[in-house]
Amino acid sequence: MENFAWLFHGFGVVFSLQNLGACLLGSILGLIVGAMPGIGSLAGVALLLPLTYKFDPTTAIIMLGALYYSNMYGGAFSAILLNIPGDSPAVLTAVDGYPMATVKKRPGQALMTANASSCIGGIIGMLILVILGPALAELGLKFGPAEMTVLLLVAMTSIGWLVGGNPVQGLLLSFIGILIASIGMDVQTGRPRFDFGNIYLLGGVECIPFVIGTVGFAQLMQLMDEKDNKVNAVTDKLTIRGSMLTAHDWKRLTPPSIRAGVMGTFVGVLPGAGATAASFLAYAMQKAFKSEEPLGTGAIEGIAASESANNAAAAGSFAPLLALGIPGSGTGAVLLGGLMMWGLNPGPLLFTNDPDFAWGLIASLFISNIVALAISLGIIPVLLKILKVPVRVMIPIIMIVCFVGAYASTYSMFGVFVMLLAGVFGYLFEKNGYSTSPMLLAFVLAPLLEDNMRKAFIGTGGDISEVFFGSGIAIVLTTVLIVICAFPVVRTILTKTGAYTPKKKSA
Amino acid sequence: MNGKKTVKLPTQQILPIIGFIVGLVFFMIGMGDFGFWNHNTHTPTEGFFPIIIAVGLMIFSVMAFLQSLKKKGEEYKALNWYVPLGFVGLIVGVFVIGTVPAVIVFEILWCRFYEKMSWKTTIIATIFCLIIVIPIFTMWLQIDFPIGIIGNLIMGY
Amino acid sequence: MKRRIAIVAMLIVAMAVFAGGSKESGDGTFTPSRDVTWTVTSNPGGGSDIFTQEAKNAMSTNGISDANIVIDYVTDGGGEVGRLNVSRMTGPRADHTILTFNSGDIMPMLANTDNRIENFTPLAVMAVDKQLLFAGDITKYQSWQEVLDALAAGERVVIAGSKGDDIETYNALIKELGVSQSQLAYTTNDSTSTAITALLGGHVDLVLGKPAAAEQYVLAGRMKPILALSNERFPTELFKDAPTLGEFEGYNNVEVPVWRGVVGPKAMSDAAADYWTECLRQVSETEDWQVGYIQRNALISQFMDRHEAAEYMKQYQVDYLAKIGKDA
Repeated sequence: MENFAWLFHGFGVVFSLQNLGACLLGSILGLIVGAMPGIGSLAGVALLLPLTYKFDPTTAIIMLGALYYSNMYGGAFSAILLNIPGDSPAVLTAVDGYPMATVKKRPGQALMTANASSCIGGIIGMLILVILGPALAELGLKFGPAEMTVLLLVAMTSIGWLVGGNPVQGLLLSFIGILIASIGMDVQTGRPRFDFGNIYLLGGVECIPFVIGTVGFAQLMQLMDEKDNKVNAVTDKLTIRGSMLTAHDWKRLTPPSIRAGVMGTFVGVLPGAGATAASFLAYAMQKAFKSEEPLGTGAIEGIAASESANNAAAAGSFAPLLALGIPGSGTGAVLLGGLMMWGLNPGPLLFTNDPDFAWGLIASLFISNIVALAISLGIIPVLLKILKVPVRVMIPIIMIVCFVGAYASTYSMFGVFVMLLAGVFGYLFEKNGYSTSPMLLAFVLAPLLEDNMRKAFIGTGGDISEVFFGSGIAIVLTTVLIVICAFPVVRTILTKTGAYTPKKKSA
Repeated sequence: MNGKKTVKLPTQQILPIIGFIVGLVFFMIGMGDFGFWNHNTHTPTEGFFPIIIAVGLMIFSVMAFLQSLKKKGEEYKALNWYVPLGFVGLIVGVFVIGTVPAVIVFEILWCRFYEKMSWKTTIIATIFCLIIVIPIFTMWLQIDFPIGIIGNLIMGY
Repeated sequence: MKRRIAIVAMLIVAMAVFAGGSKESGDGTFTPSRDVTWTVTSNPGGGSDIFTQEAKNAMSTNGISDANIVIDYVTDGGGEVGRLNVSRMTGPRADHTILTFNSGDIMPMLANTDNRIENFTPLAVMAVDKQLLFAGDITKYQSWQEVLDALAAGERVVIAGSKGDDIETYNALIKELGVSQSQLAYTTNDSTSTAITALLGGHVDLVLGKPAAAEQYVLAGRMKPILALSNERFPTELFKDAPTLGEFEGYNNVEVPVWRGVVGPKAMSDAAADYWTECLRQVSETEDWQVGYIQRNALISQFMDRHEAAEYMKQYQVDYLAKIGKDA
């Protein structure tokens, strides 16, 4: 394997005191930035870019790569402990992580699960990156607007897996989410849409305050019911030893982590899909497999799927970035800017012209993965102290955190208002038995779907069959889509006619 | 005033109605301003996708409304609403006296005078919030929080 | 009484610390006293980004400004949000915020919003740019003649490009060719790099873009320039083989010049505006800029200071508003 030889060469580049130091520093900063709600990896990388001007390019990218990467670890902390996802990829980590920490009273294990599966996902992503290298990026290119349209439709059907008990309510809320996401400037025509004359709405509704509101703020309103409970949620097991995963836990988290890791890598490679889509898709995929406890009630499998996928996607997105100079996400785009600043020419020639740099970066991702894991494990006992704070003290503090996070993500009070409104409505809907996570999935994926669909229609001159059956990939995906949609219908018919008896489902 | 008295509201029915109205508004604007399909270029307009979704939303709203008729209404406590109310107070404070003073006042009012915590707890909670706002977000991450009308007057712009 | 004064004084100092006050020294000159945000309203990797990166580099490596400049990409709402945010910036941040502002930015801004050049402080026009059409290594048409033949045969050809002035050039092109929007179709992308992704995958037939964003792909043999949207051919080695439209019988050249400039918020002080226009003038005279940016990207160097730029941009606004039939 020639690529592995290059990888070892890359390790040779990285193993200098200076580069390891940069890697360590990047990992620590990434963890902190990731744990802060509202500041995603994008802002983190952008803010630290200037710090790296005076560095050698390899050292600089190692630090930023480590930061980008460990950010995904940090996002899980506030999601699990406070039910405030630091960034949108962590939404589903909160869905299972928070109940596991509070209801199941296993906060240490929840954090440990998140970290372990992040590490597994990351390593899978990097191995795929090394083995396939530039070929992985070429694979991503095969997904044009038409293929992306069908893929996103498949992804959207996973809303069906997420809606839970009442599909009508779940779809109602998801559709509201899609309409909210359609507010703002239309990319294809450049015309404003549904802005109701408001200039802020021209920019659309920002994702992060929307997420902080519907998940975190709504949660706070609900917490008021429990604030006077004398007994604290968690009293013991707050040591690292009490946080250890049992052999059984490991058995539960490994298969979903591996599956989600492989899938997340490929989603990360696709143009514009990113870590958020990867974690949603992996979670939805996990719904189709057996989980020991129902997802959404604090299942290890759920945390593992979400965390593994978003780290794998972060690794996968390096493929188009390094091999073609195409950023798969906003963060990748800033890294790309960094490359140019250090005098490198990102593009199809990077691997040939600067192999030290490209492979050094990939090698450093492996190291930062381990470093981030080690640091996270080390700070788990410190983080767990947060849970010792009584709920009534936490409520006003988290309100401030919500404010700061919403403001920081948009640099404006508009984000704060979005957060507040999303929070109040999120609470109302949750209280009436609606679940909000499918809405968040719809909110994130629908704009991608619409943009790709419209490009596909322009490309084919409005020929629908060309969109769905125009290429091999599209045909395969369309088949998957039809099977997914037909499956429940067929099952219902078979059940009604008595030809099929559903097994007692565990998920 | 512990906010624990409950009021029954028919939100089970109100939420689908809100959903229907949202769908209707997007449908009307979509049809009126953008149309559905551009016959000259054979491509969807910017109204195409939202109109489909809006129609779906109206259908699901009607279904959810019919389902909800069996339900008797949800119980609400004022207690839960202290959070958004307090938050609105915080926002007003930010606009008037600026972020840092508003955070201090908010924490003191909430912890000391609403929750009746000890001064020690109150001050620790306040300091914790200030650590988040000042060294982390303002100084390190360079987020400029609003300094309020009064702050603007003092700074002279 | 003394104590009260002390408290007030402390409060003021505290506020000043939190807000990070700007330094304006006694003689009315300005030097940056905090990190400078340079806003770019399109994605990294595109022409605006490269322009900004190069200008910023020239500024720091030549010691023109020792300010710590952070490039901030605000692409929401087709960039309108970034432009609006900058136009509304007040306080010390107004002196420390600049915005890359091109003809491709002002057009959608005028068409879709009420934001006008009057809401900014123009600082400089730096360069003029033009576009080319590129074919990919696996795409159907490998020369412009093949495209013309295909159009004549009634085939459908799809171009991908970015927003703003790329669309203007496309409109000028179909007008000159006399074909319809569905025959020579256009997909709008957030940035040229997204359009290039579609071309490399063979999902569109051509990419419309500026030389800078395409250079690496042409070097690597993944893309090929097939038509220069310019009155004469590009002088650089990499692009000189691309013919202009006028070289084909029966057509005139199509050229929609694109200018690249820098503006600040309306609230920027005169002292700060003078400082930035001077920095940018010095940038435009450095070798880094002339060789590393202008020459390399086949641009035309054209510096206008803040007064000339203000006049130029205002005139552009008047002309464009008239063209799209909107009141000024």
